[in-house]
Amino acid sequence: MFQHQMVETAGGINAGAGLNGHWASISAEDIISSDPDYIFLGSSKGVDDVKSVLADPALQTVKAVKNKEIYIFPSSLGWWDFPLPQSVLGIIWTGKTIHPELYEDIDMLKVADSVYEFMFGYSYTELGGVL
Amino acid sequence: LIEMGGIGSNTAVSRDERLWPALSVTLLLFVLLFFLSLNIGKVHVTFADIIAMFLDKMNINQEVAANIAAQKQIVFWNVRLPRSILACSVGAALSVAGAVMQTLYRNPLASPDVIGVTQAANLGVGISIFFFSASTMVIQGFSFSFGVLALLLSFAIVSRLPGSSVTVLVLIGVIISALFQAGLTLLLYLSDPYSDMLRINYWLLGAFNASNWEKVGLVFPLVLVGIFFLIIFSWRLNIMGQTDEEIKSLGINLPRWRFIYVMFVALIVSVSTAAVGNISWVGLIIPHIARSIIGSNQKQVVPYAAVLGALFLLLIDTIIRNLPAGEVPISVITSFVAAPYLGWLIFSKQKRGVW
Repeated sequence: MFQHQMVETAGGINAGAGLNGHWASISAEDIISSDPDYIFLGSSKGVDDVKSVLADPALQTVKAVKNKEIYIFPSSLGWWDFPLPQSVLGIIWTGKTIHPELYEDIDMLKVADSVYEFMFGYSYTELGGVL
Repeated sequence: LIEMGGIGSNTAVSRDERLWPALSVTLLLFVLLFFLSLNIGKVHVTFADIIAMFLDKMNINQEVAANIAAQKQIVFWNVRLPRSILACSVGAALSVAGAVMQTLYRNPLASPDVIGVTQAANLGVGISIFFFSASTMVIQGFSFSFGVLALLLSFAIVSRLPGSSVTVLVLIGVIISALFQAGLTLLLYLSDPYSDMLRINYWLLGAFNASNWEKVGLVFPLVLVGIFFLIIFSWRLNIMGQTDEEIKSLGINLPRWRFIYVMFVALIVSVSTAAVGNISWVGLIIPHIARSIIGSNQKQVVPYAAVLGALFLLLIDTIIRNLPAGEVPISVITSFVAAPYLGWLIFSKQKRGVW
């Protein structure tokens, strides 16, 4: 699964690595028993949001919820967690999120600007992108 | 000699005696499975933990539960218990609905998904989210109204076709399902793929892994009330299985009784569908299994189907919940179990000329 490779490339260990199928369906109990340090939500609007995950009574013992480490991929211009060229930015952003001390020197917006400039001829900010 | 699943009234007496042993064994299995379903899972919760947590909740003994990890308590109270209650409620609801519909339509193939009630309830969900509101109450209201609409529509057609056979009923089901399914497809096509479409699909694909107390609070009481009244009114179902002329000649207000049954069936099917999505085959197959065990007196079939359906769906849900590589959609398993059984049933009844 592409998102699995993104997490592993960014230096993380995917708690859902053992699941079968492309989009696997799991219960809250699976999340509780694997107890992840970070939770990344898919960037689909309108279904899940950080607030509802933090408020879910079933997930209160999970480390990521206790430490408020729930994230949605940032881009307002196309998804960074989908199999698209822009997903390289998603990998960098994931690395910066889970290893902030290793990626202190990276300014996400500057990198995004240069990658968009290279790919599309316009920088991320010029196209109206917001992190 | 006892003819399994036959309609003959001469064996009714011997079957009365079969209800209590069958019902008590099934109830016992059900209670055992219910506790087992709370016990097994990826987080280890022992029977002693379960008893301690119950004692704690009921304020009898709070010391025993004090040293149980918070993780176990949350898994038990917020994940497993609501999920098991929801699985039982939906299993009982679909089975009772199937049992009542098979009698009302005088047809062994009648069931919520064959007639199109589930598809209609799904369209109700879509219309609610697309045009009105995505709040749970509104969605359930629309889901129910469309379930009633589909049932009334099918009755309107069936009652204009005197002496309609199994094939006609299935065809009417195909027509009604197709209409509501097409409506839903149109809605999904028109809706915004970034918001409404996701919300509608999220509802329709709903499964037991999204169980929470909010859903239990909505489904459990309504299903309980619906099943309660259907059991209370089940004595009349024996007469409802006769032809319209026979029923009317007994001085029974046929449209009124039919309407009562339809309303309660639509209620329990649509709240179940709106909460956990489509679960196929349960409503069709459980009433048949129930009748093959205890005979065809509706007064007994309806309550027994409720217990058997709850047991069946709880068993299947407990299995898929514990699969190592993520959950399989529940309808996959119910179909694998039930479709071959129906095939065998048709084969064996065909050979004896019952159908």
